[in-house]
Amino acid sequence: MQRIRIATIVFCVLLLIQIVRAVRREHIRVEISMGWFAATVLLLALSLSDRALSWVSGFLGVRDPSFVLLLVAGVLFLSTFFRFSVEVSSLKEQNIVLAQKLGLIEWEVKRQAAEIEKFVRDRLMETRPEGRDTEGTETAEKQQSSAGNEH
Amino acid sequence: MLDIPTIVRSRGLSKTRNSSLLVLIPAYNEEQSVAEVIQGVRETLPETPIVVVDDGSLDGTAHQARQAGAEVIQLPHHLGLGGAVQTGYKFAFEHGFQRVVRVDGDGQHNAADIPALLAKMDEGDYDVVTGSRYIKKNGYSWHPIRRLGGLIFTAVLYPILDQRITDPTSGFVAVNRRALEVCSRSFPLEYPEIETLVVLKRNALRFCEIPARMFPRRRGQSSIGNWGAVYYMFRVLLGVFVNVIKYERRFHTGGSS
Repeated sequence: MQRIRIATIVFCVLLLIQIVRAVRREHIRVEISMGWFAATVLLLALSLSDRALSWVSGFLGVRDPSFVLLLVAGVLFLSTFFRFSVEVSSLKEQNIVLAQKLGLIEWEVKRQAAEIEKFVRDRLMETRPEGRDTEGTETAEKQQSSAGNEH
Repeated sequence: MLDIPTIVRSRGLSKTRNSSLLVLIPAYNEEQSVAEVIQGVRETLPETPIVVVDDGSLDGTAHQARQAGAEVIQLPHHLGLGGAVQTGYKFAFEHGFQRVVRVDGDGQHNAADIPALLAKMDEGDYDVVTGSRYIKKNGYSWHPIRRLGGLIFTAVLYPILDQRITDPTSGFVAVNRRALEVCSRSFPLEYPEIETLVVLKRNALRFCEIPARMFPRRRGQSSIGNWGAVYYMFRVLLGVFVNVIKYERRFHTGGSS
């Protein structure tokens, strides 16, 4: 077996172990890991199977099967990276929309809180004990004066 | 007992609703200049509401803006100029404003020119009116590289827009409600001015320029350095190209393009 194939098999096995560990520890989401699993398993299958590798090299018209291995690896990983770029872009867009909504909602909440605070303060001023005292004193004075008038 | 939701509804808490004009100031780390900018706008338009969109500044921009009497929308993190401007446009659109004038927070724009922007908008039924620093000489000499960049963009945009735009990078802009609707739905995130023109054209909106005086930055530094200018050129040209061939995405609303 060619060295390049042995190296690819070792790399794929290590990568598979790493993917499984990352999924178990929740460092990578299962749906995201699917692309990596598929790419690694396909590459591993090609590295292990002489027949499959020969068929692919014959199909592509490439004499050296090890070159096919590199080509397939490159295509698989580039495709995976591209897919992730699309997902990152989508996440960035969602992040922008969320950040904008958060800013707008925060402004609205602060403004409403300020209005409520002002309303409560106004109501408290209207119903303050001092106000009642004044009214009460006035009422007592009026009562006294009216009582005096009666006398 | 206080019924808070009733209070909120009954008191019509949005003072800004039904006002026709809003001045929008996007700002990122502009604590040294934002208050002066607000003051300048206040002198020209004393009754007009001013909203500062603080794009995740690390300094006291939001505090300074509040002290100067503006409403402040604070973004949770830095989105870039386009994200901040679009936030302001969304705010204005949701609150029913008919027109928005965007003035940069670095003090480069002359608030005294705002009435001229609005007058031109009324006069020609334009959806967007931009202040151009290149129509008339205003005493300030711009860096030749910047001027060259402007000329390249003018040349690139001419066949796309079917009209000559002398200052496509100007951020001194007045938009009406039609443009506001388009911009709050679809707006470039980075370096938005030039791409926006293509977006407006795609949406069959009318725009024009008027001469406007602009000043060098009062304080702080431009976000575009030497290498940044090279990136800016390629980024904007790519953005223009993408916008020309772009399929208008209808499957979601509220996103940036």
